Amino acid sequence: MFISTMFKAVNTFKCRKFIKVKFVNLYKNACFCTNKSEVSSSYEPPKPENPFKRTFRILGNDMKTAKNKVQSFITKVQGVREVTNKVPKSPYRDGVFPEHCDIAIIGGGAMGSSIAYWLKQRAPNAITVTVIEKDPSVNQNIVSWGQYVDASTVLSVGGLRQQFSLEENIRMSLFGAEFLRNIKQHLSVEGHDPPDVQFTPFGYLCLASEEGAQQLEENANLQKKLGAKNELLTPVKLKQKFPWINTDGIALGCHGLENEGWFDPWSLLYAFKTKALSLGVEYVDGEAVGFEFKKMPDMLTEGVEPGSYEAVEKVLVKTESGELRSIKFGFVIIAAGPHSARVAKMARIGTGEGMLSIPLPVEPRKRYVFCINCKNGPGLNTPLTIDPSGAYFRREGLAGNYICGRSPLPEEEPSVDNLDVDYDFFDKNVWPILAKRVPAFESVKVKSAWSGYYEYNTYDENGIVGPHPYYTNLYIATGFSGHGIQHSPAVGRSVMEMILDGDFETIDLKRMSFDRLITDTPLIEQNIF
Amino acid sequence: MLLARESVFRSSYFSEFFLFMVLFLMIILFCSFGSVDLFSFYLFFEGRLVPTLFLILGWGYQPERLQAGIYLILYTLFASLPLLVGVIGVYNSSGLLCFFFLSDPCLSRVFFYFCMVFAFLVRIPLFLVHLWLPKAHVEAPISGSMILAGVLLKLGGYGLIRVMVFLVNFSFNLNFFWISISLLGGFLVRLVCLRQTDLKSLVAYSSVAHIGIVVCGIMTVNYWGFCGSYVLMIAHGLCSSGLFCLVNIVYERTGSRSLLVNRGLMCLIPRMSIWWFLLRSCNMAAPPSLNLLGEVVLFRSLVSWSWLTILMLGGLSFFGAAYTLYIYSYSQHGSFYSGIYSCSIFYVREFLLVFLHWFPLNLLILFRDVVSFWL
Repeated sequence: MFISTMFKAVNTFKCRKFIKVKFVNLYKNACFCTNKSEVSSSYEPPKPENPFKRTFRILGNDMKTAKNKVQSFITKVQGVREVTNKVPKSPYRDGVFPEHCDIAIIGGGAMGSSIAYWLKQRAPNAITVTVIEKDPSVNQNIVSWGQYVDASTVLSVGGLRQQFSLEENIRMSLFGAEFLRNIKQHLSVEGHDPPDVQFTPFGYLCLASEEGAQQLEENANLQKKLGAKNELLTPVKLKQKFPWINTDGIALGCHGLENEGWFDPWSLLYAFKTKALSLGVEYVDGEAVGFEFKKMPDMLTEGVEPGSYEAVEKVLVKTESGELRSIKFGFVIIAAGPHSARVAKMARIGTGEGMLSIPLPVEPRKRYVFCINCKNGPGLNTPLTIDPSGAYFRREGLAGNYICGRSPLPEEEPSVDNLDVDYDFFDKNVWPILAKRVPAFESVKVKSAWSGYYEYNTYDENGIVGPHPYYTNLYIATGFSGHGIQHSPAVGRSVMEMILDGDFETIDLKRMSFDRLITDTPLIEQNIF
Repeated sequence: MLLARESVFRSSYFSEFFLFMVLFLMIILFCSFGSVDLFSFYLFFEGRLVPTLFLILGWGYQPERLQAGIYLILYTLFASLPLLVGVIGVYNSSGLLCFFFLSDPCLSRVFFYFCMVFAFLVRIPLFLVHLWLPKAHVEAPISGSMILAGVLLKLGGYGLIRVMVFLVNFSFNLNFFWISISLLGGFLVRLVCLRQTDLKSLVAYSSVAHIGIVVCGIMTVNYWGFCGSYVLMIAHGLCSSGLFCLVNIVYERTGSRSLLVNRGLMCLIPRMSIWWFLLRSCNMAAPPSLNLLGEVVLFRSLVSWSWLTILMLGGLSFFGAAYTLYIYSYSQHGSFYSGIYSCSIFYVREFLLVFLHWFPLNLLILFRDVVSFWL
């Protein structure tokens, strides 16, 4: 009996001893994988805790939680109403900062929250999703700093249209419309009011001059083929349908009849976020300030010298209290809107070699939105009208208010240091065009204005959705250049499909990946305003 | 297991302490397996709790999440306190504690029987008291998991074998209770395995499932039962430990333990697929693995104990194969979208690690008499 146990012990231990003797020493001297993890920015990663102290701390915490549970149970049984909670309520889901997660999403706007929602609704208990948002909204009982103050999502005009020329954009908008129509089924949370995005379905009216008429007609036909409903209108018909319009210089107009209109983007964001929170997504209030890398000499990548591959392993987050923590993830998704280029730079996109030498070409561009009041303006069924010059307007509410704006010419781009509004821009660039197109706008009063950043893709003004070719665990979902809010449900679903299904199942967004920047094949949209 | 903890060295996260803990644990385990005395066995049996706790909580991932520490302490410590009572009872009634001379039945009360047996059953673990195992495994670092699965569980089995010898007259009447719990529990745990999404907890539950049959075998108090459970314990130690290695290799590459995210690994780490397949097939007792030998012998002993066990054993085997193939297929097949330009070649160190796990599994079956009939 004794010898048998010896044999068994030796059997299991001999291998390990052998390994230890032979290889650990060798390893310490000569193995090429002894290396430290590097940090990308000037931030020092937080120091790991002493294991002994950690053990005792964890045991202590566990005892305290167990004691609290027992005490609360006893007081419940006794019928005493527990008023004070001895353990301070932590802002984190499990009471501790989430140091590990399966998927980390940098940016908690419409895109980030949509991705978080779609990931979690597919697999509520199987993956942990953490969203890092530096400018969060009021979170139930805890008041935190800012309320999405300069996030593009909430400053958006909230338009939804299918009038694009790229098939992917059209399909994404169609899905967006369907999602918003059924938002109560998708995003309702028990105990809260059902979400209401106030979708106003009055459509878009795109006007084209002589040069653009051909393109407009081709676009309209493509949209019809993909399932959108629109109507091409000659100037005569335009005048009949919309008596307030002045058709000088207009050759053709296209009016979207269904699935087009505008909605309240703040409600959409709030609905996404509430649903994501209820499904178990952890929102971390902090700013991503850097990444930690891990050398993986065993990875072979196209175009990369073997042995020099480095993967992103952790993201360094500066919490609102100024503390620097790190979150280890399996996948990271950059959905940081106008600031995506800065985040991408932390991951060496743009500063490295080979595939990493191409930066993410997303930059913030300030756009003004003016709210004007006109006594006898266009009536109730006015669509969001876009002039060939790019100026647009739409009805807001029922009191004769309208929202209007225009993308400035490249040489007139305002500075992005702040969100101050330049009212001269309205007087010089917006009002003359609107007054010409809609005679009733000759006499308007500017009631208010705000500005927001487009996450402007300087390469081809369309979104970048997909993995970065160098990294196996980094995805990008940004750069939508002013039409992101309507695509947010579709993009969220596509990112979920890429990660969990391994390929696109519904809308094929392969052409929108980062690869097109490397192969220099821009996706130009013929219809952007 | 030391090789597998290369990342500890890399971050120089108190690697000297870690090494010390691991060595300390190994020495204690060695002593416990080699002890001749019931009391010294008990001493080392309890002693291994301290370094295990440090290993799991000190270097683990996020132990605060599941309160692994509390579970570990409460379950195993309080379940083995009665063992001390039993040991003292044995000493009282027979005057000595050496294993070699304790072969005659020497305890007169059922109470002592339960005391002695319960501690090992919690350790082994039996179905109803197995909750500590998945929690500890999920939160433990890889070497902790490997030692836990490979050796510590076998302590329970080893203890049971030692102790059954002199508890025979109670066991004839009462063992049916443990056997039926184990069989039914094994079946249920295999069903639970099919629902798991965390790779590590999946392997942990499969550990519980396998050990279920081992417990049955020991409880039948047959010679064949003892042989079969002994073989299966060795095989399970190698197999589970190897599977934890593989899960850790995947975790080091993808950074995530979720099954839903780790898919298409045949594309990402092609050279590892063969090891997944070999170890998984050993896990479901496909020939020619040591698991097969153990299971065949155990089935025979169980069926000879009562033919009714055939029903459960059939279900057990089927679902065992079901979840094994499920993990293999889900993790290896399919596509990994963001890895289209890259793939990983293995480290030699990891290759060696997994090879050394698999090698005895598939080759020791040729030395059947050396392995099983040593008892």
